[in-house]
Amino acid sequence: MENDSPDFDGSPLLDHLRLLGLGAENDGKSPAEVVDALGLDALLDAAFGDAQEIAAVFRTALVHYGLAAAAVGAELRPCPAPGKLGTLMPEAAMPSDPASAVVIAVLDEALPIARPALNTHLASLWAMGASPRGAVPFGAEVTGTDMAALPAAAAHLRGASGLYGALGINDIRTPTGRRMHGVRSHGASVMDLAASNLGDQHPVIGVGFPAEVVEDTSGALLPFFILCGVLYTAARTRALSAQIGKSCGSADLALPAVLNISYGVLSGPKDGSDPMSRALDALCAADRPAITGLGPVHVVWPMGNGRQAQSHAVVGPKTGPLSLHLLPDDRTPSYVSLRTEAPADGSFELRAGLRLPGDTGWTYTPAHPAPGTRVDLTLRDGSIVRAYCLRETPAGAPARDMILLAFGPTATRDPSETPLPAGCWTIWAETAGEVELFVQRDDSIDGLRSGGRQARFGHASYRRFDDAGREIERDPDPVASPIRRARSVNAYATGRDAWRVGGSFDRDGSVVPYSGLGTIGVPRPSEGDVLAPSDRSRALGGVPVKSFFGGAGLRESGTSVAAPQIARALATAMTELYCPKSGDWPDRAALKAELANRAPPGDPQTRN
Amino acid sequence: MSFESGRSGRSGRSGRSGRSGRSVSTVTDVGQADFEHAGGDSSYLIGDALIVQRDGLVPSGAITGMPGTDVTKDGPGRMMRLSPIERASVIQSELIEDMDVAIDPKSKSVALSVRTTAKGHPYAPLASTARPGIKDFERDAAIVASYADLRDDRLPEIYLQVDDQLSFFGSVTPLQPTGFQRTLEMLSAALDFATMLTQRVKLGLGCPRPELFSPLIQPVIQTPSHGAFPSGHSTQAHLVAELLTHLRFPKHAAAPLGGKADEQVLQLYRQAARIAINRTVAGVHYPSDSAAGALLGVAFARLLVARAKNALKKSGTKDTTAAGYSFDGAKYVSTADDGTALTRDYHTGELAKLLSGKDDSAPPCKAFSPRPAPHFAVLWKKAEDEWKNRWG
Repeated sequence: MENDSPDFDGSPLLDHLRLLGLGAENDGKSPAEVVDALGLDALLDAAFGDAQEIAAVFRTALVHYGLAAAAVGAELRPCPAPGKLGTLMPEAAMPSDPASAVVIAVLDEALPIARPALNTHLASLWAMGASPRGAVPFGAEVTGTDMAALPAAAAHLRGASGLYGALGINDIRTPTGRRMHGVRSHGASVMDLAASNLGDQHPVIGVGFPAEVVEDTSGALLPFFILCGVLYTAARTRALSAQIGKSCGSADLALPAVLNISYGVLSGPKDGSDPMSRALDALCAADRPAITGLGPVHVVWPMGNGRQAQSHAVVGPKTGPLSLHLLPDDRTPSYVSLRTEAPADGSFELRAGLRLPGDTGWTYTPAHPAPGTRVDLTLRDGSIVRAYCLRETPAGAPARDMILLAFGPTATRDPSETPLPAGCWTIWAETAGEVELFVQRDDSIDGLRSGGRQARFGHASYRRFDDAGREIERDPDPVASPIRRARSVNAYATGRDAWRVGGSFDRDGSVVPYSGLGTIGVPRPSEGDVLAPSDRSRALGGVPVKSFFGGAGLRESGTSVAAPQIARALATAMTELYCPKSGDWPDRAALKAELANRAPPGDPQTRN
Repeated sequence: MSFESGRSGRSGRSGRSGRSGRSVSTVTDVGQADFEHAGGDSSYLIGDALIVQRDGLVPSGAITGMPGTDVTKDGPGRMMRLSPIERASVIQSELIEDMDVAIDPKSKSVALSVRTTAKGHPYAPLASTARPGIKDFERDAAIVASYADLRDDRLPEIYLQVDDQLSFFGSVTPLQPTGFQRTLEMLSAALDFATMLTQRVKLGLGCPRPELFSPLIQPVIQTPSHGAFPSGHSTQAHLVAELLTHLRFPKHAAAPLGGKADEQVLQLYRQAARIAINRTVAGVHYPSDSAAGALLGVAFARLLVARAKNALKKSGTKDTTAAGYSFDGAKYVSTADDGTALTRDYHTGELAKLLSGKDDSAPPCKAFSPRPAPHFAVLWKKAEDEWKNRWG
């Protein structure tokens, strides 16, 4: 019972943002038109060449998330005539043994590429939110050659700020440029861990997301730009292979690439069926069709910090309602998703019920909506909650029905807008089978004041702390509550081939209580879950990182800083384990074994 | 009654006037303490004691004077025997008496002139500052708001620098009071001089603060009641940077930011620019305020250096000249491709352009030779000696 003309196209989150007015200047272009207008086909071609199947999967994903480009609006400055790509790196900076070289790519925000520790072997950076420059569809490109060609005088008076100013990537007037002036940035911490002083065998590629994209608390805008960043990394790795290959006389050089993407969200299908995961799986598959100039690709993600977030629940027909706590002063929308296996007869049985804080009456989503329906639910106080009804069809798995509920902010600055009531709502899922509920992420990284606050589920049966006052680390067995710590993993990181990094205490190697969990009891096909330190100990959080300008030592915590340590280890392990005779790279099992080999024993005395 | 305190004769007293609050307990402290009397501060009690003591020590009321010696040194020669406060008064009056402040309401500018060594001691222009237009301020309010993101990082500096810049300069060049007492006194005198004149300029130009153009700027410190342009903090900070460069790194004074700049000098100017920029981060100044203040501070410094050197030089040698700039705030803009005037930011790079004398907004004034300032020069010389002795 498909809806011939669905009410919305692509990602419901993005549709909701569009209805809120983001990207109004987009003139009603469809997502596909947005993608075309940005000239992304050229980038797809540069990334994948003849590998049409992979390009198709990426294109589908880009169109699915295409509204994100419109939502960013003024920050996204298209290059009117993207220039031709020159030599990326000076020869002196190229790898001394190109056959075993591995590219490391950091996709993040505010990357401090003026730091010598990071730019000695820089291939290129895509500063997506900067003024147009270079061979990119929007924003600015800075190559290693550009960096080397900057006159020393540019840094003479203001150091790195002078260099960024000369490159036009630190305009204080723009949200993205502003991020290049502070003491610290997320990207600086991550890049420091992933790529500082890695040496000539590891050319560095950087992708800097626009600040508005990173700031969006739901993460709805990010996948589009992550995909663009991955395309860019593939395209530049291929260009690098050609240039280095030409320089050293090896015509079929195909550099591998390890990408670190330290971002995550709490909600999603978490089974690899989302368009971004499909695209990345196509690119990272061990048996991927050959792409000239591109060796194996590994993408490293954090597990996420959401284990204790109470953002995941599983209810059955007998479970009863859950509390949904919408926080006060939450200035951004909150989203709750409900998923259940679609009935065999194809009807849409799933219904959600909502009750306002302190109210007795329920409001329900429509019965048997056609998939693709978008409807505004009017609650008993006149508040509106928007509901999207979709059918998801993951490959090799049964179809799923999904309802996405979009709640407005609980605080608004404009007195003419009425905020939703904050407090303890009640949510109930009518279903014959099991329903999985997620609350989407609603907070932002340090330093970006998005105004979002994280909503959560509640239930009388859920215990957060044990009797000694410590956070309970695992759901009890058998489960005692519909609210679950299991499957709190970063929803971006659930492709088959994703490397997912959990956080551990450096002191003794134990897992930190907040690190996201995968699906308990379901072994991942590619065994990609590993641990790296995210904190020193329960007494001292974080791991040492450098400040943005490199002049101060700071600490940064979270699985976001665990992931780049693994990305770095993967890149160096691949180089070490490369077999020159056969031209083979180590497979995932060998890499995982090597990572286990290198994992330092917890030592109270020696580190951090 | 405490007999212990009688031993050094000092420790019981220092709390009384509240001035230093120090308790002095060793003989070596004696020379540093700034009591009014030899062993402690004034009080009714010591006056009372001296009355009774005199009754005991002086046999009869009548005395005859002893032969005296007339004064041989000049004013500057006797200056170090004054208390610091008295000394400061002397120097302020010496520095100020040669200045002329002329406000021109038509051109919305203030001209600062100084008496020269030429016959009759006519005035020559040291520097002038013309204010931006009201539309310029309106446009520039946006960049002040843009800087707000840095407040989290900069708040400790902003808060302390409200009235303490020297501690920050002291982190990039030695300024500890124990080794550089007179340098600090010299800087104090220079800062007071600059403040007196800067407040005249601010009042004459009457420029609105950023808070008046938007309620969304929400400065993190109280916006002061005096006008925005030029920035007093920027004037002071750049005055200190320029003075210390002339004092400690004279070889670099002519081109402090040039290609062969010394890192010791660069840190001073970076420090000055940062102090100025922090005021924009705080939400109380535009970048053009910082630019105007920087040029004024540099002009004041060059003036003071010239006046000191002209007092200290051997007779017959050449005078040291000084020259500032004629800053036009309305011209402190950057221009878009289509000719629209855009806000021009302030930082060390912009300072270099302004100091070069080739910037449209800041043509240099003609160099002139100012009159010697022998009282100020006493402190200048002592500061030079302190620097010479820094290695011990």
